[in-house]
Amino acid sequence: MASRVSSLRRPAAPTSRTQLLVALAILAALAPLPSLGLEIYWQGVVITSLYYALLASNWNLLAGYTGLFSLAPAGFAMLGAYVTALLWTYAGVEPWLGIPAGAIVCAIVGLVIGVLTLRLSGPYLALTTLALAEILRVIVLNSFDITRGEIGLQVPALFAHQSSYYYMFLVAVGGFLIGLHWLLGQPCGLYLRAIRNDETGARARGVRTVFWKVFAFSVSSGLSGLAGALFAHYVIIVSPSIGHLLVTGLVMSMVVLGGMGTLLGPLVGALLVNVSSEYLRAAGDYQHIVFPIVVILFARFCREGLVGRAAMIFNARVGTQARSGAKATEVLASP
Amino acid sequence: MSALIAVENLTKRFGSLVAVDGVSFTIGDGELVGFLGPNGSGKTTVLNMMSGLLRPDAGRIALDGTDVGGMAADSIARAGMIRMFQLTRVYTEMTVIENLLTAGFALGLGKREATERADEVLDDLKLLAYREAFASDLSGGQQKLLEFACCFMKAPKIALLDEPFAAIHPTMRQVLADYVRRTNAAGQAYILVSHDMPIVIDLCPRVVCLAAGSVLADGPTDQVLREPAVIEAYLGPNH
Ligand SMILES: Nc1ncnc2c1ncn2[C@@H]1O[C@H](COP(=O)(O)OP(=O)(O)OP(=O)(O)O)[C@@H](O)[C@H]1O
Ligand SMILES: [Mg+2]
Repeated sequence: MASRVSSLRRPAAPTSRTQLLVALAILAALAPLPSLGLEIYWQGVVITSLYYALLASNWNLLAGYTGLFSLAPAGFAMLGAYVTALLWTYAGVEPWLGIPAGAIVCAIVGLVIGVLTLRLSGPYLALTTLALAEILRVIVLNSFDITRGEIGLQVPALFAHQSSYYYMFLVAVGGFLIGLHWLLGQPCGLYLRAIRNDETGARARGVRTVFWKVFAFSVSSGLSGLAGALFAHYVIIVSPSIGHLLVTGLVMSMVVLGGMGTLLGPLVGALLVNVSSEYLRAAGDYQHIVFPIVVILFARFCREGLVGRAAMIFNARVGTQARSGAKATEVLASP
Repeated sequence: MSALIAVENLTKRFGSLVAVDGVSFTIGDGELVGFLGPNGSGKTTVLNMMSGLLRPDAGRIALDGTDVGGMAADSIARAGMIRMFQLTRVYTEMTVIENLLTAGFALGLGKREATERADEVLDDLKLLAYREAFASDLSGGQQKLLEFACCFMKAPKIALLDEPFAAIHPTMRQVLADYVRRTNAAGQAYILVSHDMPIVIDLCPRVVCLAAGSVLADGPTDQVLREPAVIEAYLGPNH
């Protein structure tokens, strides 16, 4: 009877354990590189990639799983960074308190925005987050006496060695993905996906859609703030460039490239985009055109992204084997 | 005695069009009531208001004595009034079992309970072979059955079904009709909107007939179907 069900076009399972394992394997493969002599410069590229992977995964939680379009992933990262920077500069608060404070402030701001905008469906969240991101940046730029504008605020480093940051971000991304995989396996993971798929249907069948949308937005905002605060103590100078809208665009392109609504996609997208942009640097400002074009091409020809496409190919192959008698294990799509 | 459902003077305007115009009816525990009416007579709009997806312009809707008029759709569903849509709404990007579990969890079932119940309903509706399939890979009729199944993860106080039999193969239609008949015999209340006369006559002891947003007739099925006004509304004045 099971043969009635075609697995040929079977998409990537959003909660795939295999994808989590592949992601952890990538992180594990990156781990020994500093001790194998990876240059400081390239360690920095990987660290930035992992920071972007955090923002991308957070944006994916919203756009890929819940269907919410926020334009403030970079905005919240900047807010988180400034919370710890301002606390340090004006109250001498140590980073180990400042970093969680950044996350909490962002979660609260996310909660307020969510409550205000997520009762309505439509473009309100996108518009509000766009406004928030730009207003925050303008405030920071114009409050020179407090924030030192574009020059930025200096914050203490967490570690003496670059490689320590490298490991910290590896652990942060790994921990985030494990947490996300766990969350998606809970009833709330089903609710979020149901909301993205058909919000009216979900509401009519008893899902507290407003509550779960606000929940997802608040959690995602808080974790973006956490990523920004961690990043702040890596770059040591907190400036408004962290929150630039171009960063948000870059984060979105990473998710689209890797695969929206896949666990592994944002990590793959972040590594690919950030590492390849090192090679595009020679092209100067033209590099800003490359990723939008790639995004358009993907949106047109490969909507499922690289990881989504790989999973489909894999599932099709496993499906063929299953028909010829081999054991049917849908690896990338397995729960 | 308070009725399970008491709808009073329900009214909805879309611009100058009065889609539902002072509709009142009551439904008792365990009743199975058919809703008839020509296209555009306001049946879906009444269900939309009852399920909280549309705000009435006037009127009252009570479920078990509680006014649900201002309640959010999801609260109404959890309070035990659940509906099925005329245009099928299932989560196409999720598997059949995930669709059912989502409904079960939302209505407060635990994991074990929800899984057991899902398998039971799938078996009842002959969908068990599709348990792990994506809803998008089901046929239109099978998707309708799945949406139907989602409504019964936890027995509601009343289920509002909007054209559940449309575009369904006769054998599946029988499966569905049998399910309705069997559960109704065990006390499940229904509103059944349908254009399928034979099934309505077969299943519903009572029908409410709407025309142009108003209740034209309400009573035992055979009586209502003999009323000249109903015949005229359905078949045109020349009959
Ligand atoms: N959202 C809306 N905006 C404007 N007009 C609407 C809306 N929904 C319904 N209507 C109008 O209200 C009237 C009643 O529509 P409704 O869908 O309730 O009819 P119905 O009895 O369910 O018809 P059918 O048997 O075709 O499903 C129709 O004239 C329709 O055009
Ligand atoms: Mg209708």
